Amino acid sequence: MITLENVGVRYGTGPEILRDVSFRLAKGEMAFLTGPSGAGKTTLLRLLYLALRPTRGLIRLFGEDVTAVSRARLPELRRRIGVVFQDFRLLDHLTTFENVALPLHVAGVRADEYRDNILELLEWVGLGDHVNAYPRVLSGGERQRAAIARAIVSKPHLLLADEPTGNVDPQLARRLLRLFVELNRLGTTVIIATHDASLIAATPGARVMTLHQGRLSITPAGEAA
Amino acid sequence: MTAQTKKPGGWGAPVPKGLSGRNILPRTHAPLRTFMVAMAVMTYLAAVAIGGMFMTWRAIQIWKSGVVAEATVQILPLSEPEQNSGKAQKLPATDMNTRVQQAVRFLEKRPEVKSLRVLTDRENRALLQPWLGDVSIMQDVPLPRLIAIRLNPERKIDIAALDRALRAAVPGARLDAHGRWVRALSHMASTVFWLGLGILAAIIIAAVVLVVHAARAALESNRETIEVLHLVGARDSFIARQVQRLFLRAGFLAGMLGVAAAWLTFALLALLAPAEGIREGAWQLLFGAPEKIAYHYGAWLIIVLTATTISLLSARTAAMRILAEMFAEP
Ligand SMILES: Nc1ncnc2c1ncn2[C@@H]1O[C@H](COP(=O)(O)OP(=O)(O)O)[C@@H](O)[C@H]1O
Ligand SMILES: [Mg+2]
Repeated sequence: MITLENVGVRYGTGPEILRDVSFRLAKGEMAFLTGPSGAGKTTLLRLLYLALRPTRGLIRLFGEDVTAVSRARLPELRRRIGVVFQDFRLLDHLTTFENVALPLHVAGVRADEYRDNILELLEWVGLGDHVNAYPRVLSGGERQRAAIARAIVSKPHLLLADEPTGNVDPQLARRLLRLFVELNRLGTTVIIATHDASLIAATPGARVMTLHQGRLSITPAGEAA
Repeated sequence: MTAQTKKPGGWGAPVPKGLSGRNILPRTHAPLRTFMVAMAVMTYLAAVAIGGMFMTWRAIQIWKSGVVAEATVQILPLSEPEQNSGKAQKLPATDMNTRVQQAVRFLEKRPEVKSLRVLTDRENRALLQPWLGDVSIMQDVPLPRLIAIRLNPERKIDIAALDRALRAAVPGARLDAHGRWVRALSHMASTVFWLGLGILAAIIIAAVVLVVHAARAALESNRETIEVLHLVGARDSFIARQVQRLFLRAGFLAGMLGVAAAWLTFALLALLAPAEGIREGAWQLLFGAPEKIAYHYGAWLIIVLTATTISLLSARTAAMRILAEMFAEP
């Protein structure tokens, strides 16, 4: 599913943010990516959602070498990846419903086919009363849930979540985690970048990858702290 | 509780429609407004150029039909040896007045000739004045005499044959059918046509540049939105479709606006132009015979369609190219 070999990233002429990062994640696995702020978690996820090319090393996604993939191929790969961005990246001029519908809309799915699913999903993440609200009027936590709904609406093969519970209370965080676990149970490979140790503790089956000073260490499945 | 059983979006909220009719690129108003103004000016110029072309054509047609219907017979004074030549003796009418009468009798019998008039000596000299100056001092210099004829418009006239017959019948006579003027007017008409075509081509080039420029501005001011669209799996063609839809609409509106303004310009000319010919020409352009103005309004419709098509196609190709360039790196 995901293979990284000796991947290195630097921004411009700066220092290497990621150094010799190598790991493998099989289809259907669930992993946490943790480490102090500035360790490079977001950078690693950006590599995986194809917003950044590595300075060196090899990345394979879905059995395809994506380090040299052409622009024309990117949309198709990205449609198999759901992303919860750390800063949400909702479109301010679209309603919650429309934001969540976006991945389906750009893939050519008609509104009749997705309307009920999205309404149900919004209900599930607790945004049933904000279907037609614009992101500006939503709280941080509500925006985060809208971003999560958008990431999972197309039932992606790979879900990448960048601190997806950073803005919600512990109770809701557990609820959202259940959403990810459920998705993972249905076959989606999930990587969640987080600071939250309680989240990791609550998910015993997941692997834990820790970034420290640009290097990655991994605990195998079942040995999470 | 599921969405099916509960009304979505709280009480009374409308059921969301989806994104099909939605403008997904929000920050396009400023570049589109600038584009529309400039495009309306372009279509205005094109529509005025075409209207002016039709007006000029019509004027040329009118002049031409006037010129075609007229011809001049010249009776040249014969030089001494010619007067004494055998030919002149065979036809004793060497005297100018006699030959003029001969020519008049000959012409009156010809079916091609509708009417004729011998120009008086005064008229003759007045005509020559621009070339010869004050002709009164040359009272005794023999001048050619002129007969103005109107040709029968119903018949197809062989001017050359008429000229040959006239020369044979009357010594020193010759027919000038104003062919030079007809040719000059024809040249003028085709010059106006090519000039108009050149102007339209220049306007089209300018319009394409305009669209490309505006499309770039529209894409650049929506960079962040486009990044998100790319990240959720949008192809460049999807984004280009959003852009082309905006330009299709703007191009159509600009085209309608420009042509409407051009129509108003000609309407004002038809009512207020100081020269009668211009008023009449503009009036005929807008309100003339239906089979004629069909072409004028057809041409203006084509301008609107061209403005729309240029906007659509240029916006699409430009958007595809600019996206590839703006987002060369993922
Ligand atoms: N676009 C960028 N240009 C330059 N430096 C960057 C950029 N993005 C992140 N960095 C740097 O890379 C390091 C890792 O950042 P990031 O991946 O966001 O870490 P984390 O998500 O773990 O907090 C930080 O030192 C940050 O300043
Ligand atoms: Mg981060």
